[in-house]
Amino acid sequence: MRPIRLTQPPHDWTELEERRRLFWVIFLLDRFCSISTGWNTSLTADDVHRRLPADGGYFTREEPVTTPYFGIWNKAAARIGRSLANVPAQYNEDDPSAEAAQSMGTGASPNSANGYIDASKLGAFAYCVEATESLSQVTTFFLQQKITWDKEHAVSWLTRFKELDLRLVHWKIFLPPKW
Amino acid sequence: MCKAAFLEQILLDDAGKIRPQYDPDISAHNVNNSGVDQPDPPKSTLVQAEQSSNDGTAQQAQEQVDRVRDNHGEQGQDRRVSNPLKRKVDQPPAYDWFFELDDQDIAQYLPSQPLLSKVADFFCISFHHWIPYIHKQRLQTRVREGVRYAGFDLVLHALVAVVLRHMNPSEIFLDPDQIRQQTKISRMIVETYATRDVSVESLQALIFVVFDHVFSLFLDYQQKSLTFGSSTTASRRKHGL
Repeated sequence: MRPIRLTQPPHDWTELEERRRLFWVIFLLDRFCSISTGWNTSLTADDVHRRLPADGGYFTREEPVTTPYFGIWNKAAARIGRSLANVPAQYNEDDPSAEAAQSMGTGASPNSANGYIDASKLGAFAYCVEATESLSQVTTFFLQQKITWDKEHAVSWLTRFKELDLRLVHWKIFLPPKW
Repeated sequence: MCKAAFLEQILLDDAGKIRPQYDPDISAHNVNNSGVDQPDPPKSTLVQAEQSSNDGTAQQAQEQVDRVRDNHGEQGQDRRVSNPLKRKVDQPPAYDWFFELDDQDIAQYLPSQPLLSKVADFFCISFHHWIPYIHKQRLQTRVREGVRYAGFDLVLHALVAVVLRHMNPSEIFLDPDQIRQQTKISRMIVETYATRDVSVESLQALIFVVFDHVFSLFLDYQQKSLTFGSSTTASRRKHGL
């Protein structure tokens, strides 16, 4: 059984990248609305398994490149009280659907064969997606994590606070110097 | 509001006739009579004007009466006129088709080819870095070559709906009424047709209109925050946008 397909496969990598960017714009709008209103997000880890957008230069020059998948947190795995070591890594190369690789078309670049995750082809748009997701996680943490000041909850809350802070610092350190 | 319709509201009454104070035959007659029969101007002001006519020349009195009536006429401009003979100013020419069903060729409601090229160029320069989801060169090439199909027409309508009002009217040779009209039509077309057919182009068109709406709300909220007093952080954010 296969999911219904509403559009034709893309003709080349540029068209595929256009569709990918369209998705990430929708993702950004969803996160922005969630952050602004305090409501839950609509696109969750179960819905999202997409490669990050490539740097604008490659897109403009129509030069096919491969970017890593973006790891969005599963809310259950990232529940307060659980260590963030259990959530998906920021980048991963797991592709659950072999058909997704086949549908990329002749102009698409192949997946990485040896599992090495190459983040060098990412640009401002991808980092904007990452920053927005971090902001969404922090906002969710502050808005939706109720604080009961018994020792166990307070320790969990503070631990999560420090983990989020550490991830932000880590992310910033590993940003390319250009950004 | 169209200038001609604006003048109509001042000069014509509900029945479509010239108001007595602007009818040269009637106003000349009323200068010599009391102001009891004239409903529009405030009595005290009109009576003062007419009393002064006894002191000055008939021409000066006429001018004063006309000025009083003109001022009062401007106050009546907010009244909504229901006379069906009068020009309907707020409805776009395609208002009726909105309620018709399918089979509308949305391409006929697009602006001219040269204007579309300017819109596409302006989008690539001023908007694309905010919402980088369309390949710029392919878009500009397709517009220049006059590529037309239903999906791409929707994308063009979305570009027009969002971008046109930010362009310099003198460069696109449109007056503000025409810009408002076209923007309204294109937005209605995107909102109506983009949800009927699921395609990449319909999604591109819809998302651009949504992007415009969301960020307009955000900027309004920012402005209101500044009006009611806010932290310096909010104002730094505003200037950075």
